[in-house]
Amino acid sequence: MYCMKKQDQTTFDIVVIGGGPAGLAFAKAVSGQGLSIAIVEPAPRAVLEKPSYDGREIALTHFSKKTMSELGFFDHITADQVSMIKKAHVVNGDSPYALKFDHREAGEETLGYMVSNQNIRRSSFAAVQGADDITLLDERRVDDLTSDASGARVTLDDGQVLSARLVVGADGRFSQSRRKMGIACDMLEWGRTCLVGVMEHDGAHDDTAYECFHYDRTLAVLPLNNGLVSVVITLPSEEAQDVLDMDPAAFAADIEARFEGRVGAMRLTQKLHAYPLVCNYAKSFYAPRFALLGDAAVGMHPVTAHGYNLGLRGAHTLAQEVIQMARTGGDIGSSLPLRHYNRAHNIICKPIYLGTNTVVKLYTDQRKPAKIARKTLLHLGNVLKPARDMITRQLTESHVA
Amino acid sequence: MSSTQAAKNTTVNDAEIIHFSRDSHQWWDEDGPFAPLHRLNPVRIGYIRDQIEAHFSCSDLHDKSILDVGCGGGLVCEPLSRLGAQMTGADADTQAIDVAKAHSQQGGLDITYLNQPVEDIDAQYDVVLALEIIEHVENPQAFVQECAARVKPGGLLIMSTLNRTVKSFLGGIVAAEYILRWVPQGTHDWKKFIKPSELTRMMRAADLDASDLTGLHYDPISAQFTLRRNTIDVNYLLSASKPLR
Repeated sequence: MYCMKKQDQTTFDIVVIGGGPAGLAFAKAVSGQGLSIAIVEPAPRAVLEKPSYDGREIALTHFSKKTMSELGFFDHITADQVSMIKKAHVVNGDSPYALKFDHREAGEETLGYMVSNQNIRRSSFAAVQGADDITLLDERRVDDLTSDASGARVTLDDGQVLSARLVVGADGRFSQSRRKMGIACDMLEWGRTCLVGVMEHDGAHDDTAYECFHYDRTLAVLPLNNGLVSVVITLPSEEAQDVLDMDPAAFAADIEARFEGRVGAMRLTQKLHAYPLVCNYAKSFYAPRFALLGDAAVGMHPVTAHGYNLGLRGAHTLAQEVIQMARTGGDIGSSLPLRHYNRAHNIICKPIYLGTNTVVKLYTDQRKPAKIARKTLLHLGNVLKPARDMITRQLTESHVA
Repeated sequence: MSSTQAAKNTTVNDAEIIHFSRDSHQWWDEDGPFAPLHRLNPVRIGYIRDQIEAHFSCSDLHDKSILDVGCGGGLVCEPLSRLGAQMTGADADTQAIDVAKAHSQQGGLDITYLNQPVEDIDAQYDVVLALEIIEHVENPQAFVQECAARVKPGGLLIMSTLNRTVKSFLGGIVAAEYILRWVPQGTHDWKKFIKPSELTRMMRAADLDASDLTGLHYDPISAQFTLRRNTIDVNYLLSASKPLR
C-alpha cells in the first residue's frame, strides 16, 4: 500500500471515504482487479495500524467469518482471539423462562463467533496494507464532494482534488459524505446509552450468549476465551453516568446479582466504555457515482449484533457489482451496479432494521400489554420450531453462500 | 444519409435508421429507450471477451482490433476499449455516431467511429461484431457476407439477434414493446427475426465456421440476463471463425 504525505496521484477509479471496518473491507474486496483505490481517513496511519481497545466485542455470523477469511483478515487473527457462541438464551425480566437457541439444532459447530472490534480493525488494515493498488491518504478530511455523469470530485482539506469514477461513503453514522451528496437519512435517538466492558468470572459460561431484558435495562453477557465475558448494558442515558461512577466492586456485585450468578463471581477487568445509542437508515444507498456503505447506510441497534455483519455484507455486495462491471469493461460508477447494490442491500437490511427496532421497543416497554406480549413471544418461540429455526438461520446466516 | 447513398448499399434500411435516430440522444440514459441494452451489456461483453480469449488463446483483449457494426451510441465499443481492444464503431445513423464520439471523448477513450454502412468500410479486423442489428437490416444474407469480408483470415465474427419463435414474439415484441414498454413500439418486426439455423446457414455461405451458439435468458424476478447454452428460443449469440485460408 502506498502512503502519501504529498499527494501526487489525483485520479483514482475508486475513492473510499473512511478507513473503518466497512471501508477497509470494501477496498480489500475490490483490490487486485486492475482498479486504483484511494482511502481518505482523518486518523493517522499509526492509529489504524494499532487501534486501541474500545470495549466492543463483535458477534460474527458464518457469512462474515467466511468473507473475512476470503479477504485475508483471519491471517492476522489468532485462534485465541476468536471465541464461539454455541448457545443463546433470551431471558425476560425476572422470569426463569428463557428462549433458547442451540448450535446443534442448526447443524453447525457454533451459532457464531466473537472477535473484538479492535482485532477486526487491526486485521482489516493489515490485510489492506499488502495491496499495492490501494493508496491511504491518512490525516485528511473531505471538504467537498460533487459528482456528475462524467465523474466524481473529492476535495480534501489540504486543497487536493481527487477525481474518481466511483466514491464510496463509509464514514459512519453521522456521515458527512452522505450529507454532502444530499441523501436523506432517518435518525433514531433512543435516549439510551450502551455501556460495554470485559469481566472475569469464576464459573463456566458454557459458550452461551445471554440476552436479559430487565425492563428499563437490558444486559447481554457474551462468551469470550480465558475465563472472560463481554458485558453489554443498555440503560436510559441519564442513568449512565451513575453506573460509570460506581466503584468497580459494587458494579461487579450489581451485575452478578442481575445476572443471577449464572457464571459465578464476576470482576471488572478494565474501565467501561460508553456509547450513546443512535440508529440510522439512509433513504437511498446511492447517488450519482456514489454509494453509502456500513453505518453510513444503516446504523443498527447493537442488541441483535447485526451492525458489522451487515456492513461486511454491504461491502461484499457492492464489491461484486463493481468487479462484474470492471470485468466486462463497464463504467463502475454508472447507475446500474449502484442500483443493484441499493436494491440487494435494502432487501437484506430493511427487515432486520425494522425488526430489531420493534423488538427493542417491545422489550424495553414497561407497560402491561408489552410484558404480556413478550412473555407470549418467548413461549411461542420455544414451541414453534419453524420460528426458532428461522431466527437461528438468521443469526448464523449459514443459509447464504 | 442521402437517398442516393441508401440506394447504393444493400444492407441499410432507411426506415430503421429513422426509427433509431429519433432516440439517439438517449443512448447513454440507463433509464431511457435503450435501458434493456444497458442491462444486457455486462452479460454480452462477458460472452464476447470469453469467445475472443478462447479463440485466440489469449488472456486479455490487448492489441485485438475489433469492428462493431451498428455500434449505436457506443455501448459495446466503450467497455471493450476499456478492456484494451483497439475499437472501431460503425453506424449508418449520423446522430448515433455523434453521440458515440462525444461520449467516448468525455470518458477519455480512444475509439474510431465511422458513419458508414459496413460495405463501405475498407479494412479488416481480428473480430467483427454485429449485435442486435441483423434483425434491422434490409438483406440479412448480404449483411452477413459484408461483415464476414471485414474479418481477417483466422478471425472471428460474433452476431446476436432474436430467434423467430412463439416465445420471442411474446417476449421480444408483446412483452418488451407493449407491456413492459422497454423499447419503443415498432422497434422490432417479428418477421425479420432469424432462426439460429438460418443464421448458421448464412454464415456458412459466407465461408465461416459457426463455433458457438449460446442463448440469453432473462429472469424477470432478478431483472438480470444470464447466458444459457440451451435456451436459444428468444435472444441468442452466434460466433463463427474465418479459416486462415
